[in-house]
Amino acid sequence: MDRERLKPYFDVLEIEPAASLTEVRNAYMLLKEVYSDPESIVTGPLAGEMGEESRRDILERLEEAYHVLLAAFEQSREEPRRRIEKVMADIETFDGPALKRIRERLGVDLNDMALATRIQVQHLINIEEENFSALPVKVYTRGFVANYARHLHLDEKRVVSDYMTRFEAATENNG
Amino acid sequence: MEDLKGIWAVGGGKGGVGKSFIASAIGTALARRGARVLLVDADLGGATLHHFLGIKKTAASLSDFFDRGRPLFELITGTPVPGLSLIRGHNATLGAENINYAQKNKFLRHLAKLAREYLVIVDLGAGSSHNIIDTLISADLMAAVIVPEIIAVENMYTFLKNALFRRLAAGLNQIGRQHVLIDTWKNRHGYGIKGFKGLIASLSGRDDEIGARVREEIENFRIHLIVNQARNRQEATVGNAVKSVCRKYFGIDCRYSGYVEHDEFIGRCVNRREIYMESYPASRCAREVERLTDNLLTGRQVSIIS
Repeated sequence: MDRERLKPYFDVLEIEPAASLTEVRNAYMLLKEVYSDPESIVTGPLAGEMGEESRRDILERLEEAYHVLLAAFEQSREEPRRRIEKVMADIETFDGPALKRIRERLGVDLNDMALATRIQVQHLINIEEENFSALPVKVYTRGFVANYARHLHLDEKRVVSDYMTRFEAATENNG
Repeated sequence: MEDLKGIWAVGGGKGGVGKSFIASAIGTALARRGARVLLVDADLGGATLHHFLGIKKTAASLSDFFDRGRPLFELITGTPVPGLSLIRGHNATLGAENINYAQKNKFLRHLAKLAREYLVIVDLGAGSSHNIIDTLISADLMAAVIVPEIIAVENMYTFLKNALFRRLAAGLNQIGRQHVLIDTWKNRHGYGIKGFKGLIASLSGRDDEIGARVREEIENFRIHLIVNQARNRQEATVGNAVKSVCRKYFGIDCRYSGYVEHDEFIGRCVNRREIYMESYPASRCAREVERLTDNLLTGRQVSIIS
């Protein structure tokens, strides 16, 4: 989401461009209430000066800002999913480089992944770089790859099947 | 904190909204953090600030400045709070609020001198008279206190409009064009100007010199809004609403710096000659004062409460 470009709309709602969706909603609800009632304790004292026209004008700008920002938030929520779908469409087989590409697109850090999966960073790197000879025996490597796939919410079965086919081919040739 | 110097003015238009409590509480909070604070009770009609500091009377007061010509610094007295000093206001003389032009200027000069050594917090008192407004706009930080009631909000708008008007007048006076402001406002019906916003729009659209000066004055005008005696968090949102109106309608940079909830113990402390912030430092109200003080120092604001 290009928050700098959207700044005028955040300004209308009187919030920082870094505001969350909840903050956007709260600001809109409050300001809409303020300017909808010409007799409130806040608008009442200015009723004579402020005029119907400028009050309506403010309300219109609030609506516009809210809708633009809502759409932007909605789009930004879909962005990572759409990006990943595009990457997935190009993938024929889940090899090391493909897994790496997906992980990077999702913005997942290797160190965070290592912590969550309890797999050493070096093993994760070996999986991605297909250093088959540096990986442990088949049964362990299979477990690592399954864990890797689960962590990225990928189709575990397919990833393990694709990857292990390559692993087995490589290790059998060497052995 | 020791480096914190300058003038903070606390006004707001309506009487009885708690300007003196807020001024004394912020002063106490800052002094406890290590600032060198001087509270000045400039409420010439109803000086009450000393009550919030547990002080009955002091030897010297502002009467000595206005009636007997003593310099301000000689009137400073200590308070029970370390680092916090006070210049007590005066109530005695009838018509004392009607100080003249020369007296006012001398007062502002002396304040500015004290602001080199202290953080001076001025309790302005109620109303939007010239003396009050001129003290406000000479400050480094301007604060307005309201309570969530229509009269307080209305008085605050008047207070704000007067302040902005005086600022514009002073700014235009520097380029010798003050008469344009007076003339435009007087003949506003002829110019087809509706309300304050129309005045600003009309002036901004004049020749380059006036337009630029008016825009500059408005850009540099910043008011810190404080909501006092909120009975619940819902009432505190009045601050968000007033801030919005000031921004959208007057085009003023209004910051909602904090709210303080109603606490009957504040009145009891005054009667018992205790200092609320010292007697109840862990109360909700005292914590809100601390947060308000933080916000005044950093420029942060109260976010919209859902």
